[in-house]
Amino acid sequence: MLVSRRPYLILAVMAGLLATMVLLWEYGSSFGFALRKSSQGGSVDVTLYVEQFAFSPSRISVRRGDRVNLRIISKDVTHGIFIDGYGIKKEIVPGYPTFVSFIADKPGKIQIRCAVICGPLHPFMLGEIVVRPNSFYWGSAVFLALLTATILGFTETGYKRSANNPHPKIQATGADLLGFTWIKRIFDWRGFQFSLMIPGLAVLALALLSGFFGTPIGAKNFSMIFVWVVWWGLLVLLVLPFAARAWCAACPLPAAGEWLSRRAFVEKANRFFGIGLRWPSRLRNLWLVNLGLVLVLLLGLVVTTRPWVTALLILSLMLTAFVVHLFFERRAFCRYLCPIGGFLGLYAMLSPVELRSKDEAVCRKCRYKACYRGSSTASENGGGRAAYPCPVFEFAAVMDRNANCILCSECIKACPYDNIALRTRPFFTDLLNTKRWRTDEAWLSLILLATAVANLATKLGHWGWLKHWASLAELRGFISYTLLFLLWTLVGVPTMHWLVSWLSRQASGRRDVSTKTIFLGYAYALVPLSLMIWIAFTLSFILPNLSYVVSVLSDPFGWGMNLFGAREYDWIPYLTGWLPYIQVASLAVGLGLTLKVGKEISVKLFGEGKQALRASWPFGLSSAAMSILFLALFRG
Amino acid sequence: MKRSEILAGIVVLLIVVVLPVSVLYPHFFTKEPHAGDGEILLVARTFERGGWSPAKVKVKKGQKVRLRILAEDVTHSFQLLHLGVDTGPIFTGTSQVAEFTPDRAGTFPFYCNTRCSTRHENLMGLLTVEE
Repeated sequence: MLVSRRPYLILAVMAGLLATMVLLWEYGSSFGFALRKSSQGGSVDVTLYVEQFAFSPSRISVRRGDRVNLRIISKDVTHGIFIDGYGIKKEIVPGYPTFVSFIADKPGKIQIRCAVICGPLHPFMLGEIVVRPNSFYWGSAVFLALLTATILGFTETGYKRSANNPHPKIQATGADLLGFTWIKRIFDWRGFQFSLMIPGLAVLALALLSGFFGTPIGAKNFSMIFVWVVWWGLLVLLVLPFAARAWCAACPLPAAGEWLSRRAFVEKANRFFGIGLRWPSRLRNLWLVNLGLVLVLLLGLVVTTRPWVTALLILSLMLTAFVVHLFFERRAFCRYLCPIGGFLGLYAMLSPVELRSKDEAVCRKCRYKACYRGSSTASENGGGRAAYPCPVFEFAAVMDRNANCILCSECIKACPYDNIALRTRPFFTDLLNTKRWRTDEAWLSLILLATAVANLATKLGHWGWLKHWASLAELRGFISYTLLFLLWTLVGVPTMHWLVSWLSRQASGRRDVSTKTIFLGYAYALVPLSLMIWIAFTLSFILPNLSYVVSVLSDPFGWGMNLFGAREYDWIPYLTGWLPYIQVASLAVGLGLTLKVGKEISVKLFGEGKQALRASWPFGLSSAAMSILFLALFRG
Repeated sequence: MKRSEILAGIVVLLIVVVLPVSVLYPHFFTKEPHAGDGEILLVARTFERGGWSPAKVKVKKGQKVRLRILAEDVTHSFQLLHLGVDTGPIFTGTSQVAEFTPDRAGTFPFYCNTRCSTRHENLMGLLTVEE
């Protein structure tokens, strides 16, 4: 068993004690016993200036119980203010100071948001009021530290490596979903993938139309809201943690190219259109994906704030996919080029579902390998149905990871022996089942962790200058941002990771394991942490902006249509008072899983025994430090 | 060709051709969707982004005028002092109707009365009232 219960019991008791202490400290006075001296109720007067796209001072520090009197003055255009958790929302018209007053009775960081659309970066115009003592932040940090100590010190590893079985596999134990007849029938249906792609294609068409011809106001434009709030939200919150690369089966980006090269939408045609070159062997890796991801994330603030840039990004991805389809066979774009595909592929390894062959012996006897080569007629395929070859060059018989499989269902259709299973399984199985750690994949993991920091700091931070730089408002600022971003992503984080790997090697005392191997192995262990950080980031971004969906559905292009009568639906940030708990819970889950996987990977690196245990400490502590850095960005 | 292919082709055609045409045709070839019946659409943009559009509006004396003013980048307002019109702030992405009946002929400047950029003062348009 991978997970033993005892340490989690200890952890639960400690978390319970901590929570009780915090509750008594914070709210004890309401029950009659004051642990904390009740606040004096001082008064803080602050003149708060607002301008595109920052508050100044961007961070205000008050003591708990203080009455905060804000006199807010606009330096340029009309802005607004929304105070998380206090329900205060007011407009700030230039020339007329706005007065806001409230008692800061909740501990911790309060985010303040601009409440009136004031330009492209409006959704990211944020300020902070820190109510000291920030017991929420310190309490959470202590909790993460306790979590680290418990997992490193008390959990047992489930991974058993021995000399005659150097790569023991964690077997998927769950049910085969294809065992249910109706599910199997859906996957066998030739129209399966086509009908998955159609809703995406409709959204994509509307996104392109509204991006190029609709209003330039992002918050009122279908492309912005449906790509960066709805699609991104669903992708990160549902697909990434649960559904492997299912999005890739539904993705409309390669549709045009694939349909043309197959000469069919649904059925299996026997000739293909295009040159059909093989993808160059030197590019059969993730380096181009990594490059694309770094570029897209570098331009993150530009892309997510201007509708036409989003439309242009979608269009250029579509065109690239189309051209690649004309020249190369199968979906080379999806496997070797698409940045979103790489992003999904890394986290797909965590997913609790997998598509695999049922019985290797059956595959060994199978002569035609229709799952890999496709099949044109039923007879030559020994009774299977006509199906396309695997679009992403995977051979189901030996496929042991989710990273490349796009769940398109062609192999299920092709196999004459019904030897393909779609199983449920424990989370993060593939991270341990990876036989050979790949350098490109390890870098992908590090890039996604590093860019999560940059993303958080620019989009949800309170630093106006950083947003100004990152938004390409002027070239010099953007060059500085680019240098900072690349230095952090490609030098800073990898160097730190290298250092940690070297320390782990020293701690283990093993000279025969190279630092590089440790570097690669531990990079895989960071995948759960970065996933949970992306989830926390996504919730922190979409909850405040979700209400735009209502008005955008009624007026998708900002042309004054009123399809459902809700054009004037007001902006309401949802559940922002809950964000602190969501963020800390995500961080705790991510850190916990990363430590757990890190410990298992230590066994994989160093074998069972004291060496692996000692080696997992430097890695574990650095992961905890990373989490506390994120905690500081979120709540510090 | 199989029936499924034809059906799929029709669905794709609907999305790729019919949808864009039905969205774009009215946008480019019929009246501005924002303005209702009898309304004149006036888009407010900052001076740096092109100012009022249209910058010149012609109306008839003694006839009721309905101007629908849409703020397209930041918050603006519409002020026509000679005829006593001031809408107050029109928040970004929303529109307001200014309704008035001009009682004298002539050409009158109108302005934005909510600071909208560093060159906010230059944001001017002309309303001509004809006899």
